[in-house]
Amino acid sequence: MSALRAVFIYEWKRSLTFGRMIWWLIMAGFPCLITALLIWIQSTESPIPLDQRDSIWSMIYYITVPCVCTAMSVLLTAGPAIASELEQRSWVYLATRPHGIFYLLLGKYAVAVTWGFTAALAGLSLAVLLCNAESKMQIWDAMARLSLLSALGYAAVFLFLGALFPRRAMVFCVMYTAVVEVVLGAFPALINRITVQYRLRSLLVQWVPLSDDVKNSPAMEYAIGQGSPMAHTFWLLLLTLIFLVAAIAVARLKEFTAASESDL
Amino acid sequence: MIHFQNVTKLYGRVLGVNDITLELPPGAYGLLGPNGAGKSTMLNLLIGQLKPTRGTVTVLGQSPRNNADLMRQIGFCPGFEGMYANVTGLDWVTYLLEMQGLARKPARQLAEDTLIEVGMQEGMRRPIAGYSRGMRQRTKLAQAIAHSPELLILDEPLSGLDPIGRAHMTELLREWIRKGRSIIIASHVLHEVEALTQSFLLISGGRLLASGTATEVHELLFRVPMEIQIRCSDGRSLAAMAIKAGLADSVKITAGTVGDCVQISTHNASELSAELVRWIRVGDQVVFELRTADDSLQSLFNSLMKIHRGEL
Repeated sequence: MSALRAVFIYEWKRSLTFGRMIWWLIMAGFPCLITALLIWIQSTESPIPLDQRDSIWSMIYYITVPCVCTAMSVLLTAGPAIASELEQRSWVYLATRPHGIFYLLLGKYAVAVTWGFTAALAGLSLAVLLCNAESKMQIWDAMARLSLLSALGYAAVFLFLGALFPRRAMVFCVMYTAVVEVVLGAFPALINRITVQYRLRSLLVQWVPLSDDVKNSPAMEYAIGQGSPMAHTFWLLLLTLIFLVAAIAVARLKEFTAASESDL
Repeated sequence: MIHFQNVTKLYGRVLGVNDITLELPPGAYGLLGPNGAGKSTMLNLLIGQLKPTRGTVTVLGQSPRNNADLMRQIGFCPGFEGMYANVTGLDWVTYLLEMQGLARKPARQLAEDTLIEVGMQEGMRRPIAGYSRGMRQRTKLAQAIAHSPELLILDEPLSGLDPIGRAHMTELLREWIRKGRSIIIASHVLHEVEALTQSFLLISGGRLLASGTATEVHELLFRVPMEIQIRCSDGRSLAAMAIKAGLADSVKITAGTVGDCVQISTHNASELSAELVRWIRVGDQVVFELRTADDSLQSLFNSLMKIHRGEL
């Protein structure tokens, strides 16, 4: 465990660079910016009717916080986890330690989750304070939980893709998000059940105060699952575990040598 | 200590190492070969970063691939740098020791002691970005030896060092060997490794061409066909003497602005060198320049490769 703790602390310290902090602020600032824009629009145009406010703010925060802010943040940290070590040719020092690959990936995963979740939480907290929703606490609580699950799920997915395609990790992560999570995740078929989006959407409907119109809309009928929040959380965590194990297995099976490092 | 059994490594269609079989008992060894010979592939097979396409590799009685127990007994120092620029040498070595399983405090203490041992007491608290090449090499060595491995594997440890850095590093490694620990040093420069060990493995084109002591390698160097160029006042008489003595396989004489240039190809360079001194002394020769056209280790490897292919 000391190795895992060492990787986490070391990687966390390394992530606190000026450039990375700017990215953290941009990510955290995104939901706040959208909130400010909507409040300004409401002040100049017609305000959102009182009975729809919670639904609309919930949907806005669902898209901006767990889907954009959290997913983007973990994409930036978990996606290039292996590629960055290969690029700076530091991989061999870590891989030649006992269970080095296992601890390295797990440590980087933990940093990615922490980094993404803290950005989401900071942005969400400020944005919810600014908005004019009725059930602010309920929305904040639901979005915080969804952000944590989103960070856990997406970080594992991106870590796996980064292990599978280290040379083009970011490209494959973006493509996966667009094709699988956004497009296939919206298909009313079995395939959408193995996406993070499907589980998050299903939990969203049960955790936030959506209006009956939204809940009973045909789109929602196909886009969400019917199980309990516990069941969706279980499947999401299982999916996370599968991707994590797959990422570690791929990294252990692949041959990342000095030659391939210099090719990057 | 190390056992290779018919090991072949292919990178797609490119051959890394080709059917190598060897058995090395504990000790100090120099792995010599020109650039691209397959040295790094061999080292990567030893540390388990590569798996052989064919054959088996055993290090300290175990397969090195994904072997945590073995990684505790091996120290590896690669030929490239690959260190994080924005952290201090002390933090970096501490981190790698923690990854060996040590707790934070003892890891820090051990890292500090090892960095002092390699002569890094001055710079270990500075970011690596500001290190000289020598300091980086010493820091790399520190991370490889800090956990007291049974086997130390070094890839070009003296490459890029100035004479002082070279002498210091050589002394450090000699000390390691004096303690009776095993070491494998890969290099393409014979005399660098010669200062550390008398046992060599010669590799080229992915093949293990020869192995032996420094004396045997030098004898090999003299036994392989070699070309000697002599710029002298009377090239014809010198060439005639070489042919008469049976020491020249072929002779080429070209007239130059300053004397003649005689190019002698020989199978017996050591005897020809001795005879040349005598001929110059007894004859009426003025020698302006004498050099072997290909006295590098590369020529030895080229010749050994030709012998290996049956061309010589």
